[in-house]
Amino acid sequence: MTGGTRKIGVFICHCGGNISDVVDVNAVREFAAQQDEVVASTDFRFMCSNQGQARLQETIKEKGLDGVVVACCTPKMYEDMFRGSAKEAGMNPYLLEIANVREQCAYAHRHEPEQATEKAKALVAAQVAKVRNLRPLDVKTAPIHDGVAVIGAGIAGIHAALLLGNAGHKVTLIEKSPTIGGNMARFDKTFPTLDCAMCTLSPKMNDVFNHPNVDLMTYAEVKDAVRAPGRFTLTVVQKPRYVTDACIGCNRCTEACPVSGPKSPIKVESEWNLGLSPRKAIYLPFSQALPQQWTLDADHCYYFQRNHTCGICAKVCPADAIDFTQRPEEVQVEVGAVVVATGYRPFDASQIPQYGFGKYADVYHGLQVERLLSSTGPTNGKLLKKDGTPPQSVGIIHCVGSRDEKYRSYCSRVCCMASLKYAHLIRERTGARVYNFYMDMRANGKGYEEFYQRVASEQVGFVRGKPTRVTDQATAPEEEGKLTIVVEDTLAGVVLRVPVDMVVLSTAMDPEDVDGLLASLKLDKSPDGFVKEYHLKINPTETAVKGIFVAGCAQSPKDITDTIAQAGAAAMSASMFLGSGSMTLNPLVAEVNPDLCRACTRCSEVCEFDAVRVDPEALVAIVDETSCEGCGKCTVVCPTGAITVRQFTKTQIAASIDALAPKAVAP
Amino acid sequence: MRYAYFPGCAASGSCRELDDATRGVAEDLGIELVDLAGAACCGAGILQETNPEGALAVNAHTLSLAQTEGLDVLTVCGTCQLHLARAARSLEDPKTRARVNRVLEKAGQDPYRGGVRVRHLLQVLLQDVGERKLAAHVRRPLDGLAVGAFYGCNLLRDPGADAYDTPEDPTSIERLVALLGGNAVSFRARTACCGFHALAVREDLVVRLSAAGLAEARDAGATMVATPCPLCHLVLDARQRKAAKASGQTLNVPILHLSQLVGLALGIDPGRLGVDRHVVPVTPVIEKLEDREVVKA
Amino acid sequence: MEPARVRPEVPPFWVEVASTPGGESIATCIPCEACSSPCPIGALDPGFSLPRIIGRVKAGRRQETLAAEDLWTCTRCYACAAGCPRHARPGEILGALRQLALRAGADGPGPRRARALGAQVRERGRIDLATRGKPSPRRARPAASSAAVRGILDAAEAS
Repeated sequence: MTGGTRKIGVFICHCGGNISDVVDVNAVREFAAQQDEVVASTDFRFMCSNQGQARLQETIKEKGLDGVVVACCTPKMYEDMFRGSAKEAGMNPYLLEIANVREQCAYAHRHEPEQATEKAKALVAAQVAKVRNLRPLDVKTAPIHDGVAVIGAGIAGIHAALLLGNAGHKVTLIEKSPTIGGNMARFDKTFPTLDCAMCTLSPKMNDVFNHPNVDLMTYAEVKDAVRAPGRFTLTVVQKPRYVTDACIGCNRCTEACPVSGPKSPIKVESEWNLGLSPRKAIYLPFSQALPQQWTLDADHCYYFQRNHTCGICAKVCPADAIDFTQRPEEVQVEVGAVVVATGYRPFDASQIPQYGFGKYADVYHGLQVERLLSSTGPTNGKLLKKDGTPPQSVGIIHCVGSRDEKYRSYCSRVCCMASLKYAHLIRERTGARVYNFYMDMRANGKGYEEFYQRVASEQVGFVRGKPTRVTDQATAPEEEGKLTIVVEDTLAGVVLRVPVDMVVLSTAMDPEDVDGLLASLKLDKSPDGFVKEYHLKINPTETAVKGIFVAGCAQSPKDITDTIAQAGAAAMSASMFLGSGSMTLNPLVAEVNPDLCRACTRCSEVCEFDAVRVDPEALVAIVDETSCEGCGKCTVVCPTGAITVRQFTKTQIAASIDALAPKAVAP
Repeated sequence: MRYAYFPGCAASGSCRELDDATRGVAEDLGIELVDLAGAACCGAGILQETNPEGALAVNAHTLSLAQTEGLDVLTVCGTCQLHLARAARSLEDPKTRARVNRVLEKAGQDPYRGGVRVRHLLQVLLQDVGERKLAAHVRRPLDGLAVGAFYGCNLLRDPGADAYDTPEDPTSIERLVALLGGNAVSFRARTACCGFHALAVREDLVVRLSAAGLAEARDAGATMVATPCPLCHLVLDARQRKAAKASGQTLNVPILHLSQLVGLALGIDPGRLGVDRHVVPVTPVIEKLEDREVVKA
Repeated sequence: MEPARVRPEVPPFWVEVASTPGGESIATCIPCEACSSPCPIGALDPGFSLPRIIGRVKAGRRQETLAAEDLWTCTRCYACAAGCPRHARPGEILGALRQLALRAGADGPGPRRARALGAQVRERGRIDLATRGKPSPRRARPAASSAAVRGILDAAEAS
């Protein structure tokens, strides 16, 4: 473009009054028309409407525009859409800029309409000046690898993997524990229908296990990820099981293993039963685990810990499946998209000492109670105290860690319903008196309020108040040998002492500890510690990294219903992304002028996205255009001005500033 | 029009002017009231607490007496209406009825077969007599009389009340007053409780409650108040002096039973309606009416 | 204030209330307090609160609840039920509590009056509502029904 020959159009949106009630749009339009190289200036009630865009396109065609300024709302809303319309009309879309006269003028200066109008004029002038200096950009595309990795094989990951596999994508499902199933496999029943959890989960586990398009990696963790246009390369560490797939599942090794035996100095608690039962060093987490392949825990194995003196498992194995020589193995997995479904873990209730978790034997957290109630659990589904007797009375404390600024400020969303479910199951199985201690009852799902009413009619006690402590110090004969919950009943306005045999803490949902994974995937966390989604409302399954999607409790606490729904949506988004075949690379990123670059590496040092590296042979900086976010940090440190962000060059920015600055500036 | 007449304890006792007025009105309108010789108290919510099953059985007995006559029950009291109607409704459940009938049988009484309706005079006047006929019988229109409509609470809690009115925002007394030529005064506290049942325990609260209601009626322009419930009458009339004293204001609002108000409009002599039995004098307010000539039918 | 003690080993008080005529709906009560603002007594006497009485029941404070005078301050106007989102009938729950209080031998002006009026119905077939005023000849004599009523009430009590 040569100076003085641009044809720029300015379009001022009323936003149905949001802008025009404050800003004098006629004045702005007339002002814009007087700017150099502006050949069209118009205003319209809704530029984002079909008619608004049609007017934009018609004007581009009629006047042959090669630059457009739309004065409207924030570019976050409709910049992409206006650029798309401009492109359809034959203009290079990167010659269009937004002047944000809604948020920055009409909203910010609602009570000063005259100043708001002046500011709007200035912003329009600045963007016109910028547009004058813009050059058309080419959009590059990169082919997308057709594979997809799903990280985490709980109900979210299993569901997403199944859908993606069914849609014909090549799926790698990566699970860090020895079995798939996640937390849901620990549950006894699911609210509000009281379906058996395994009865609904197990068929899906089997489907995904046998799916021709799903490549399952269990006992494997993602160690690193490298991003390139249209492709992620994941480095997955396959941890050694020391058991080969010759394993026939006969359980003889477990029976023979001396670990956790009565006389064994090495004792291990079952992760699966959350510490409620011991386990052997060689084990299958639970009977329906998939794959049905035993795992040897070297950290607690006599063979590894005592100079190879044991090895009894190898001796009894009829299939010769024990292989002590296995080592961790690194596998490279190439995919085009990643679904993060890393799930949750229960909040550590021992952080709240006044509730006595870890101090009193019969204080449990919710997931432990799931195991105690489950027929595959340590007590075969009988709710028993540590001394082996059934409780006569149980207190269930809601919001343990949740909605508490000292611990987790968010509501974990499932605990009210889970607590009601425990109350129902405990009353049904043991006849014990059950008290729920709650702050607010939140039963916001299909059939949930009805379930609450049902449980309320089952003679379950509800005390509205947050217990201050659980104590074994008896102050009355009926408290002897009991755990007394001290709480203010806020409805009756009185402090209560409720002696019970067992306390259940409905703990908060914490995100699973996946900081390393998130760092290698360059994913952010929201302040609550969960994976940050692209947009909480309108894009909750995508992330800021194109090609990475999030499903289930990795994103926020969810019940199974919502987890399935979101995992399905994440799978759909991933499938659409993969199915598009190629991705458009945002051209508004850094570029290097090789003539000016001195290969000083300052740009690569400051880049937070690892998007710039210096080629040691060519001695020039190279930008990875998929990783670059266009933040401009490198342009500031570059000593020669070799690296610039497209459409944010110094000339372009200076033009805007000149237009905004007061005219008479001291020399 | 024939009804099994259930005056209730108040109209049979301390408020017998209500009974007199009701009989007068019924006669004038051609309603035949059949006395139920063996009928007892509805329980008033109290028997329901001292002997709940007994209260239900006593009311079943009352309903069975009406059934023998082949008649629906007519009440003139909000509380009677509530408790009899509630009993009638629970006795529509065959299991409950069978259980209660076993009690009646043991006591040597006839069983109740269900189906009897319990209706308050207010409903009967508006629905059974009908607005046209009622208007036609008015011989001494209540010209210029500003009548506050005080429903009280129990009448509107009757499970059948929504058949002729909106319990949350009733208008039936206002409609009736308008038919009688009066100037109906509506006010927010018209559906409030008079406090009767707390009299024994917290008379202080009851008089404050009734003082507030009456003051509201007066401030809305009512020169008198009509009520369909004699228990309200007992509080609003007999304890009005206490209410005035407790609230530190002059009230002086005469309280009329609904039957008395209708009777006045029908041209019945105020003496026959028993207005002289009230604590708050009624005569000053109705003097003008009395002077007026009764239009001959 | 001394904390209230809950005895989980005895059946909860609210279960007893729920199995008393009128008290059935207590199980569905949620602490929304929709019954509180329409209550005419609560408006005048801050010491009277339906949700608090129900809260006491749910907390298992039987003795205290049944002995409390506020059970008898209720005017039985049933305004409380109108706004209840759960079809609970707080006024009738209070009625159930009064039944239990009477059975438990509660004393005070409320229980005494209830017993006296209950006895009047049994003796004379009707109650004398006015506490003052000229005795009417009709009030002096028992209603025609009195013998039948006595029979019915006694039969009900025996069943």
